[in-house]
Formats: sequence, structure tokens, C-alpha cells
Amino acid sequence: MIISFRSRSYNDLKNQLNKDDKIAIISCNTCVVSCGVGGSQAMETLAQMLKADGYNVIGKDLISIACTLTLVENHRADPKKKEMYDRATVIIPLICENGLQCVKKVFNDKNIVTVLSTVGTGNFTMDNGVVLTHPFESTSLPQSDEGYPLADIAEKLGFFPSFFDEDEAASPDKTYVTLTIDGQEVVAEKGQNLLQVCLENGIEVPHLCYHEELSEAGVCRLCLVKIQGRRDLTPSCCTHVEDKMVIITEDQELIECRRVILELVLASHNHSCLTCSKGVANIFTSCELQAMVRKYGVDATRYDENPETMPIDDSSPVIAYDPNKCILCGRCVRACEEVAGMKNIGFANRGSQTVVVAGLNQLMDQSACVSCMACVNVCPTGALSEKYLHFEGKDWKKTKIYCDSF
Amino acid sequence: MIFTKAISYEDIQKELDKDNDIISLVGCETCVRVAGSGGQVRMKKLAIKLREDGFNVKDGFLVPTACTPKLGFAKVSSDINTILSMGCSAGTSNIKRFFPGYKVVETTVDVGLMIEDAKKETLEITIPYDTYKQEVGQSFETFTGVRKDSASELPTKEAK
Repeated sequence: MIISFRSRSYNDLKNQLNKDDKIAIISCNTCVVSCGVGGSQAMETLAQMLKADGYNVIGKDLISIACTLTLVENHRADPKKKEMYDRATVIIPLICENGLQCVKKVFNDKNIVTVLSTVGTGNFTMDNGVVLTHPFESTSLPQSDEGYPLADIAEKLGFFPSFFDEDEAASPDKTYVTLTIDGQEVVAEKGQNLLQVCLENGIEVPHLCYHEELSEAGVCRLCLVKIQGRRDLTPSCCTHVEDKMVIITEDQELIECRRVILELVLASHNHSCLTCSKGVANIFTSCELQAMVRKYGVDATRYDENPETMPIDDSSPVIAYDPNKCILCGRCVRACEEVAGMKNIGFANRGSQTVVVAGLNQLMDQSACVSCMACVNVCPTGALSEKYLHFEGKDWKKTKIYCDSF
Repeated sequence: MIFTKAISYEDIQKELDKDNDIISLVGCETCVRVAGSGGQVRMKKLAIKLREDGFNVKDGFLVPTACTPKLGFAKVSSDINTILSMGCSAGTSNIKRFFPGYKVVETTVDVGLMIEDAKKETLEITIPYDTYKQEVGQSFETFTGVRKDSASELPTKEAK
């Protein structure tokens, strides 16, 4: 893991910018997220701060691994993002100094204003969070297997121990609305995603296709809610809040509806499974479908289970793809397009034959997959999972390891 | 990503004891695999070669990232006393923390940070450690770590 700190104060950043700059904020989604200085949340924080102070932030873009040049190039060339990048005069990369080299190659016509400095490599630990174990010589710190907790050495190295503080910016000029969710009065920003508002207010609404880092799809229908004045049940993940909305997120009818959907999902393939690295919930991941099935007490499906089994794609050295565990939520398809910029994963066939495939219906390792893990990170089941392998015996036989405890 | 160079077989062998070491290989599938100094293929080659030369190699584990707690998926057996780390230096530090009391032997050495061009299948060193500072901007083949534009080798661990 590459270790980076914030090296610029908010005032210093503002001094690098003009009010007529058109600013695009981009971030890597790997090491800088663990270091607390990057990722979608950090981009959103910085964008809100700059907007509140009168700067023209025209967009944000999350890149799965910014030290892969191809991915940065693909993001710039993406037709959906082209307009933003063509208009942008300033790029603020929340990317380590290594990935910055890719940004400089791809955005050589833009003013790149950096905010991070990279100091070496390290680990993510259970007890101390991220630690720096192998500092660059420029830091004058000796190598340490135990590692230096980031908060302990930020000041020593002349960096900031955390990301920008929202309080440093002016109060955001937002329009707020008041709505009622399950009898509780909630204030939210006008136009905010209803499902996100529910989650932020501790109101749990089940969902499988929605992911906050991806575009809205509304395909799993588990997040259906009742909105006063609307005849039909409404998917909350595709609904944006308006003033005086009155919403019911759970009643007997909605529970029954969700149980039927879950039973249909279970019937689509054999999902009574624990044989994947997400089977048992652990600190990294867990099967969201299994959690939901348990929550709604769905022990079995009343529908005929699809007896057809599809071959498991074990060709990638790092990704295991089991289409039998896929629920067609499309998160991976959107992640591959929007976060990886690869568009290497998509749907093939139609109706009950629909399946997620890589490339032109190829094995993963024969497709253009760059193993950035954007798809694996968002998959709610064990369809796409990381490989943990054990080798033993005379011929070094390979077996997969599943999480039994953590 | 972190660019690593594989330590020569002879140098790895020197660190091991045929009579007493019961060995498990623990490796990472991210940077070291892309840099050509780790991953499944290299792990198998190293394990088989060591066994042929009389070393007691029991088994091996590969985790997606050795620099995170995912290393905990490697359930190293209690009858092992030596771990061959097939991760970068940071991964090796994590192995030492995860498996205290084990003898840990490195199989790679860090050169610096690198970017990958997946289309051209090349790696470029961007921020090297001081020993390798002359390697800035040098290109290497993805998954093998072979230098693209000359036959010259990276300095060995001894030179470092």
C-alpha cells in the first residue's frame, strides 16, 4: 500500500485557484481511501467546500486504480465524461504522487493542482489502521516492521493528519426540504437520493442494485417504498426528495413484496451457498443477499429453482466469477464502466437467459480485464470475489480458501 | 503500485536451512504479480525448485493483498517454522507482524513505485528508492519485470 498525506492547507489550495476556473476533482479508489485522503466521500467534501466558497466545481470522477495509465486514459475518453473534461481548466487529483504521473500524462493540457504527498509504503493493520513501514529516504525515517501510525508522524513530516475540514469553508448554499419518513421528520438537501437520505438517517431500506459510488439503476426493486399521493410503489434508489414528501419504507405489504422478490432471486439459481469468501461476514466483505434473506426470514423459495448451472470462470489469477451466484443487479457492469472506465463487463442474452459476461462473452483472462477489482468491490453476492488460494502436495495442487473466521 | 525485483534463487537458498526449516510460502497477488516477481506461477516454480534441492517446503498461500489484514486468510500451520514472503517489503512487514516467532525470508526487494500501461503491457518506475534512483522513467514488461529497452539487469540485493 502506498502511503500519502494531505500536504496543502485549504487556504493554500484556494490560493492556487481562480473563481473562473472550471474545476474537476478526480480520485483514485485504492490506497488514498485507506489513508483517508481520497475516495468518493473526500471528493464530495472538497467539492462542497469549494462550491460554498464560490468556486466552479464542474464534476468529480472516481478511478478504480489511478496508477494504471490505461484507466485514466479511458476515463478522459469516456463519452459521458468527455464534456466535463473538455470544459475543465483545473484538475485536482486526490491521487498519490505515483498515480499523479498518469494524471500528468493524460491531462497535460490542464492546470493540475495537487494536494497530496507520498512518503513511502506501508500496511493497513487491525490495531493501528494504516501504518508507514517503508518510508522514502527523503523522510529520514528508518524502516519499521511495526510501522508508524499516520497520525503520529504527520506533523513530524510536515503534513496534515486528516482530510480538509468542512468547517474551513463557508456554509454551503443549499436548498433544504423537509419530508416525513415512517412518521419521522427529516431534513435533506433538495434533489437528494431518497434511499441515501433514508440510510443517512438510520432508516434501513433493503437494496441490492444501489451503490452510492455508482449511477442509479432501479433494477432489484427491493427498495420499493410508498410515497403519499403516488399510486404505485416507488423504487427509493431512483427517487429524488421533494419538499413535504410523506414516505413509508416498511409495512406488511412492502415486507411481503420484498419476500417475494427475494424468493424469486433465490429461485433464479442455487443461492443456498456459503462457499465463497463472502459467505461468512468478515471485516472486508459479506454477502448482502444472505443478510437480506436472513433479515426477512426467507428460509426457502416457493418457486421452482432454476436447475441450470453455468461454468465457473476461474481463469483470472485474482478474480473468481461464479455466474450461478449472480443476481443481475448490474453493479459490476456499472462499476466496470464508471469506476474502471473499461466497459469490459456487460449483460449478454435476454430474459431468463441473461448473464453477466466479460469481454465478448470470453473468459475473464481472455478479456480486457485489468484486475482493478472495481467489480469485485461492489458485487453484493459471491458472484465476483477475490481469490484466496492454498497450494500443497507433490504437484502443488491449488484449492480455494473460504473465510471461516476473522 | 510497488515495483519489486525478485531476489536470485541462490540468495534465497542461502537464507534457508535444509535440516531445520519447515517452509510455507506466503504471497500477494497484486503489485508483485504485475512486476513479475511474485504470483502463482513464480510461487510454484520456487516451491518445486526448493523441494528438488532438498528443502522442506510444505505448502503455500496466495492472498489478494499481503499489506492488509486479508493476510489472515493464510492459515499457516503450526508445524511450520519458516515463511518465505512473496510480497513486497510492506507485505513482508505485515507477515512478520501476523506470524510472530516465525523465521521470515524475503524473496523480493523493493525498487520503488511504478505505473502500468495495460495497453502496451509495460511498467514504468516513477518514484524509486535512492539505490535505484537511476531507474526513473525506465520501462519493464508487465508480469515479467524484464527491462524493455536493454538487456541490462537491475542491481542485485548485494549491490543495494
